[in-house]
Amino acid sequence: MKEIIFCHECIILDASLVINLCASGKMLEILKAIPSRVAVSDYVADREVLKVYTGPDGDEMRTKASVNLRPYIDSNLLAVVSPNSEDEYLDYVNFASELDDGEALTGAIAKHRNWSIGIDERKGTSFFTRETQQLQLVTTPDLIKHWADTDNSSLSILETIIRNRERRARYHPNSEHPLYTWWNNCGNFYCREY
Amino acid sequence: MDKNILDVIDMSELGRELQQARVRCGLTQEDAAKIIEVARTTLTAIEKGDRRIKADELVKLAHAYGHSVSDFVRPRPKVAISQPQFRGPSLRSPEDTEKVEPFVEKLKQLALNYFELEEITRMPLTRKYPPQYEIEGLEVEEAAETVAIEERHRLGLGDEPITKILRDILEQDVGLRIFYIPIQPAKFSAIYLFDHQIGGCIAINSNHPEERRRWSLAHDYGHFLVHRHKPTADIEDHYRRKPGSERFADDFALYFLMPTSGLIRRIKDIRRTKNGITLGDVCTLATYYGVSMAAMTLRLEGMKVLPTGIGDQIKKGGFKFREAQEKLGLVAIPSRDEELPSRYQYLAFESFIKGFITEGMFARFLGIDRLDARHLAEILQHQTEEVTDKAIIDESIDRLPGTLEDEG
Repeated sequence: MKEIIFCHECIILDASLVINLCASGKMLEILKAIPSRVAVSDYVADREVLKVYTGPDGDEMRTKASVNLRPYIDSNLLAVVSPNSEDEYLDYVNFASELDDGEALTGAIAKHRNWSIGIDERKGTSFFTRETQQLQLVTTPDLIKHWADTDNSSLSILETIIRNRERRARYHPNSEHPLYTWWNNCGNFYCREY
Repeated sequence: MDKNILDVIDMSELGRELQQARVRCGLTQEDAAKIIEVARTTLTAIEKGDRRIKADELVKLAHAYGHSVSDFVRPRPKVAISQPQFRGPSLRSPEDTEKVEPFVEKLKQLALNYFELEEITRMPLTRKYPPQYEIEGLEVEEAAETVAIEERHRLGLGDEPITKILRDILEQDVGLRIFYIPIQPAKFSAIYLFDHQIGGCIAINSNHPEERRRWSLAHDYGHFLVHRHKPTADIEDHYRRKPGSERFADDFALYFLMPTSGLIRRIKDIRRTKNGITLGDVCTLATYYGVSMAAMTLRLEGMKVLPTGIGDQIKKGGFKFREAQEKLGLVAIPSRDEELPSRYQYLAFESFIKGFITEGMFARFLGIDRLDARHLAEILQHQTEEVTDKAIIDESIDRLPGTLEDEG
């Protein structure tokens, strides 16, 4: 099974992954467990509409609320970063010719600062695999597994987190993900409802 | 990426798009120049395509104009729907023109998005447009009934009430691009545009009840059939004399939704069992044909089945259509209220699921946030699987040996 090794000084998270982390209900703990710094671009923090379903268990989709990143920023667990060089702006624009702005700026900053990219999104993943080959791409299952291993979390807590991701963020890793089986085994009680 | 996009992009085109976006959000060149800290003359040069824009300038302007950078640099279809010129009584005043403008812009944007999704997925819309009908020399009413009968025949609708969703028929069997959007003020019923590449596009006021939306749809379909290249914004206005094109579209809607021969048959059926037509009968007919009480009484007055002016009396008497439908146990005509055509949603889903567009773009195409986009993707995935499964079953059935009767 894939063990994540954090090989860059910082991970910059794309909107897709931020939503998934927030939906887990354990974002604070997961961020604390990451040995490198964690950031989001100002575009993702300020301009993306980041929401999770917040209804009661079993009826999660009844309500939804905006994600509040402020507590993580105030705790210095998450930094908000802006493009700060001509090259970053240039690649932001270049990447935006194929991606949405959130993914494009995330990738441009990561490329020029040699950071990892936290992303769960298929098109962005294949684009960065092609365009920024030296960079590590990290996903939600990677971060959860890392936290679970570090924290020795019980299976029941993992089940809750995975259920929250699936129900409150409508996220499920695709079948090609190396941790797909692990994810399913952890949350195997869960039956999807439409 | 081998090249910087700003080195290869058409600067005149980009400048023009930036200028349009600036004007749309109400900023002056002076305001925009301040945002990127350049002289107004430099901004003018950028908008003309004479001065190459820098990456940080593009980012700042795009955001100030309420756009993403992607809106300006991603490869999009080279289509520019020209600004429609609403002439004559189709728009009454400069005030009306100003009010309808944002909705025209929205319709254009949605139509372009639809076209872009078709290019991304390489699934162009199949147009089954009839040639434009020539009605010169015919009286308006005569022309409207003739065209309505021919179109009903062409679409295989016979002379029965249209019990299917009219929107689906015009989207799927004709190839029109139909969007349901909330238009304010309520007096605007619909907007019709035509572009030779994109085709016919209609925005229907989603705030109206389904009977009225069907009427607006049939009305604008009439425009499409006869005045194809003339944009229109339909306003409810009883106090002015309507031009010939509007009277044609109204009459077309009347005959298309309530064809004479079928309606006569139903009235004969009613008269066979009783002496006169009651209010309940009119309500039943209106429900059956999916039109309002006003439309049905107008039609029956025109056929001399009801005395002239009865429609006005019913209206003045405060007749409640919905309450009457409920009391009579009538089921209202089915409708599809989504802003976007089903095919548009499936194209966006196809693009997303195949990795042609990102989650953010998927959400943007659908005009919803990422979370709802994920949920919608799940629903569409589920539906696609069901359809696929059914296709497999059907295919299996086709492969089975002949039925017992065949063998017998």
